[in-house]
Amino acid sequence: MKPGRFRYLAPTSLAEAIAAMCSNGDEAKALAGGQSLGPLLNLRLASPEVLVDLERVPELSVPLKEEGGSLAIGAMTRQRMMETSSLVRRWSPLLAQALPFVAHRTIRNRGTLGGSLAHADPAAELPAVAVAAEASITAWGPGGSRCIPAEHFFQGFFSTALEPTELISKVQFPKARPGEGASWMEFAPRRGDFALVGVAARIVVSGAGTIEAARLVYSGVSDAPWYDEAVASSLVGSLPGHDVFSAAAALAADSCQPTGDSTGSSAYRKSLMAHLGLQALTAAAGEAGMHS
Amino acid sequence: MATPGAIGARSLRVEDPRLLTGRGLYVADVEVPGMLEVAFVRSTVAHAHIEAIDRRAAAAIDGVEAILVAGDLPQIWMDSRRHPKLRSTPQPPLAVAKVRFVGEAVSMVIAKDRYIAEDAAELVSVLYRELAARPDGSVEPLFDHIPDNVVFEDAERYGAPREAFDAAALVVRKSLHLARQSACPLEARGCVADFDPAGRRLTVHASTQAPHRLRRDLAAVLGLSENQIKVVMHDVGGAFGQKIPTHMEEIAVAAASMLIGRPVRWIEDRQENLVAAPHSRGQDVDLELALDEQHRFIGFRAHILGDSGAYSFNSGSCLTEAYRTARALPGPYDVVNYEYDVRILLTNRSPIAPYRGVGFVAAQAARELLIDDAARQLGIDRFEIRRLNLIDKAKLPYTTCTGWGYTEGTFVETLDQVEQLLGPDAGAGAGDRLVGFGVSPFVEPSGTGGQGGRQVHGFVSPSHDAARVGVDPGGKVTVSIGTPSLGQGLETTMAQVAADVLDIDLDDVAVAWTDTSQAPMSLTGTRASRAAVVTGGAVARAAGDVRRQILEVAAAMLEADPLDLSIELGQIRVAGEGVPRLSVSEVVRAGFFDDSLRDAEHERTFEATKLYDPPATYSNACVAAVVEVDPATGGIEMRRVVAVEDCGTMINPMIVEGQFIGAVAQAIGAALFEQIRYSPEEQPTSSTLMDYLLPTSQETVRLELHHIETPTDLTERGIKGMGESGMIGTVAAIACAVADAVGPAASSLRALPLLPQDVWALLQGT
Amino acid sequence: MRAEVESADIEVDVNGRSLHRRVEARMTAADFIRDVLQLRGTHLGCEHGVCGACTILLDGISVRSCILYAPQLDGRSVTTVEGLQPSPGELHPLQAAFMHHHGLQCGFCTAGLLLVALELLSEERDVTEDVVRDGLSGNLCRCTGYQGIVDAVLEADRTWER
Repeated sequence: MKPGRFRYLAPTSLAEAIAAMCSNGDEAKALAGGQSLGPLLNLRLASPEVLVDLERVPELSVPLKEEGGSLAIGAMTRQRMMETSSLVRRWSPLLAQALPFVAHRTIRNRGTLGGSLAHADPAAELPAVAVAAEASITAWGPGGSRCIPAEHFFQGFFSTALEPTELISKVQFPKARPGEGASWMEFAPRRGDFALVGVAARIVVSGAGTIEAARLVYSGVSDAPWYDEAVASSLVGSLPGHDVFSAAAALAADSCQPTGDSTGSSAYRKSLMAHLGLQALTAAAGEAGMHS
Repeated sequence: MATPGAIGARSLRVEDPRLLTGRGLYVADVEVPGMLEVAFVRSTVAHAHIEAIDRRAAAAIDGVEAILVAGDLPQIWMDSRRHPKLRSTPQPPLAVAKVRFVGEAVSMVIAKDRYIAEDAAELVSVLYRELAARPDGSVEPLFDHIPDNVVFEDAERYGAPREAFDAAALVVRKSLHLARQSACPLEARGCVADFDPAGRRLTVHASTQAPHRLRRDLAAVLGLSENQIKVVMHDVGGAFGQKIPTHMEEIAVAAASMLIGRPVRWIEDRQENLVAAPHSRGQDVDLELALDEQHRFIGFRAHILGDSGAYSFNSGSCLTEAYRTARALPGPYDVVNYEYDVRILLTNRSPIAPYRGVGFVAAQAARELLIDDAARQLGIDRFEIRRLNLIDKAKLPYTTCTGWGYTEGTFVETLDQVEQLLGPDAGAGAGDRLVGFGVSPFVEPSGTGGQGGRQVHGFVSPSHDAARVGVDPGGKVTVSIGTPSLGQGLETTMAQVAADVLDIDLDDVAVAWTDTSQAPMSLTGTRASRAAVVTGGAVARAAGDVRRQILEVAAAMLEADPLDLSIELGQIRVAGEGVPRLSVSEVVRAGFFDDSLRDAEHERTFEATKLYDPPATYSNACVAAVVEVDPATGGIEMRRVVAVEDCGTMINPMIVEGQFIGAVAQAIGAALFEQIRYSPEEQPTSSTLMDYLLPTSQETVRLELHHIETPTDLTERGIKGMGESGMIGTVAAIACAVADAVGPAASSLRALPLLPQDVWALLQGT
Repeated sequence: MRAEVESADIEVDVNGRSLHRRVEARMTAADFIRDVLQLRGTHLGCEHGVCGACTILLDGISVRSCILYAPQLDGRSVTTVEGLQPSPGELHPLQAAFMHHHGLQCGFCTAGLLLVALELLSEERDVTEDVVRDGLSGNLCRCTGYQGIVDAVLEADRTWER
């Protein structure tokens, strides 16, 4: 199980990296943490002619910092670094909760935020978290940079809004608002596996105690992170509580046609959606300081 | 005074410092000058005629030395004659004209390194004319001479089962499907073959459980005699049965080295291992149990359907599953009426080979689930129904209806102790979780030699070991054996046996693995819970002979009667004297260097090779498992595993426990996670460790293990084997625990492993 | 930027020794360590980043060397199992604990587990069994059932002066 031949480039600036992507057309593949790409290369399921290693591109490794109302995280930031960051815990509790579920420690030591989003595995945690958190993804290409809202970023199985020559430079996670609570729940056969179903819940509770905003985003049920505005709408204006959450999670399960495969039928995944959705909303409400 | 470190001691392992510091030498670490690497081109289709193989593009790659297909090798076939009813399914090392499973080797690329070999393998183009492939073997015959794809069929009746079932107060029935699984040793298969064309000598470095058997098989097909072949033993990175058979790839690699006159290495990768290496299990067991008014078991009836894969493999391995299930079914229970029929089908899948616990796992799981069903229907306690039917000590010696002879056994005692350890609240619920427990008493045939094998398997299967023990003039001992250690720590335990018999410090004993030209013959290698018993017995006998020689020379030196002498901690003692007069070293040195002590009639080499061929013995144990089921997800969490085991004399309790704990972890995998899947077109879909899920430190649980030690009179030192025991009992215990947890849905539990979606579906009643 | 080639010159510190090699770009770090540097204590169990047998420390952090490529080692420091012993005849407290608790059988997964445990204990003290089980869960062992390994790490937590 050895990879096919490739050329290896290690650009030391973003301009060089983009140039490398441009000059090699479809044959180039960006190498971030390599924890998904490496297996694909070794299994020869991916055979790029050129690997562009982003590890030495300083612009992609900017440290975590507060930027306006957001937490900005460089694309090459290792998942383990985010997991242990107090900034992440404070400003994006959802991300902090989900990170320990991403594979295992040794994988998170190498795996990066940008890599995981660009890889866009619909069963992975971070894409669903990015959508739930309303993160904004900054991509640089030959023509400059653009910001892509996470909800428009994921377009299908392993497919994103990125052009082949574009690279993610950073991701901005809006800071949790007052009255906001979030939660990540998932069910995987073994801890560290891709979840059969995962769900990110965010709830913002107003001063009056009603739900002001909500998001419920699932992994593992579609070709991209899945959510339905109707689920959020059903929550807004209500008082948080078991029945409301249960109804919202059931609505999510009803509205979705999850992918069925050998690890779980569609009906089973729907049931997990309802169960985990309720758990996640309940935990999120608890975090928001509300005891329903 | 007991010898420190000898039999019974928890001696730390001699092999550990080497393995802990990266100095183990596994087959992938072997390097021979000029060595080339192999990548196999494997069939991508399940069943097809090979129309053409185009090697041109691949051959053009720089660094490719040769690309071989079947026609380039001598006409070689492996086949099995293990059982008269087993039909012939000859298997070539490289497919000839037809492929019968995805993963079957079609061609081999030999190149400078594995990277280049894989580059070229991708470019070898094979044109197939596909044939139908279905898992029930119902369509195309795999072999023209077996039109119904039935490779083995057998039926037996013991006692009067029909009458028993007619007279029964209750008959319960269970169908259980056991998925295909893989032994999945962390080190996959591999070998290095180095043929010297001038001297016509073949050296094979192999990751194998049975080096002498590999030599024998290679000799049989390669046109060499056994003394022209040397199989070198190395550290083996786990095997669990998968490395018992002689693999087609090993033959292909050896044949290739002979053909091109260069050393050739093949190191299997994980994808090959999951797809093309032999699998295990793959059975459907349909079992009935008849009970009388007093809840006594009065009859078993079993219909067993086995899946052999595409070939019955060179050891007739399909017999190790379905057929052995049939023979093992009565287990530790007192039942005289039993009938079974077994059918084993050829399928377009990788061949079946042994994996820890072989058919015993299936027999145990089906039987214990069924007994629980009976207890539930009768409303009686699950311990009670077992206690009532287990073979009581008073009935020993006991011969089961299938001919297994138990001379000793603690069937009821182990059950009683487990019940006590488990406590009264084992099945108590916790919040919204469903909690259940299962209990599983069992026997494990172990350490069988030839006659023993006949008793256990029902057909002749010679299986004995020889061992050599020698003492050097420094008074140090070398033990040579032909059974490789696959992790069992034989380097330690065999030294303990020799130290015990010779009464010499354990530190003064070394165990040597060499190669088949030096090591005494182990007919069938390290397998079937036999090494401790059979190799250990041979070591004990050889050490005993050397001890006699030492005492005879010492007697001559001391002008004493040998019968008055003994060895204590390496010193020769004369009966009645407080202070030893000689050391073993002094005796052996004198024996070698003092000509006057030599005796033409009694040659003393201070070395002995002895063979051991013990009768069948049976270890027994009882395992209980407690599980927690989340009804919302179907997820199962192990809460407890409790076991009481009795394997006779323990050479090293630490190692016994390690074997048991490791087997329990594998049983957790077998019961809850591991499944080799195939698509409807017979394409394997579990080809990575992302799909084939092994238990980790999170899914396993601390084992509560206790021992009863009942030495058997039938073997040297009373030792019985136990390597498979944790696997045999625990799969059933977990299955029973889940059945207990899910309540009324239990009767619908029909397949293992118990994956979350299946448990969820069970609870939904779908 | 480095030249666009199928091979690369790398400088890497391995177990305290600085080395300079030219490597094929696609060579995995694991094969580089095993075949080029002849450090055979690092084992390949799956070659797709799941089993953890090939784990090494890269700048002190555990990584899977089968899904890392040799050029990525350039300028880094690598610790393999061969670099654990304080002196040739002496075992690291973690290695000694593995021996005492029968934390290995066939030895194939052991190097990876030692290095992951080393990383865990370098960062944490007074670890609980749950922390250890979580910390080791990315590394597969097919022989031991993990119990001896967990006990070894718990013991090393006490015996390793750090």
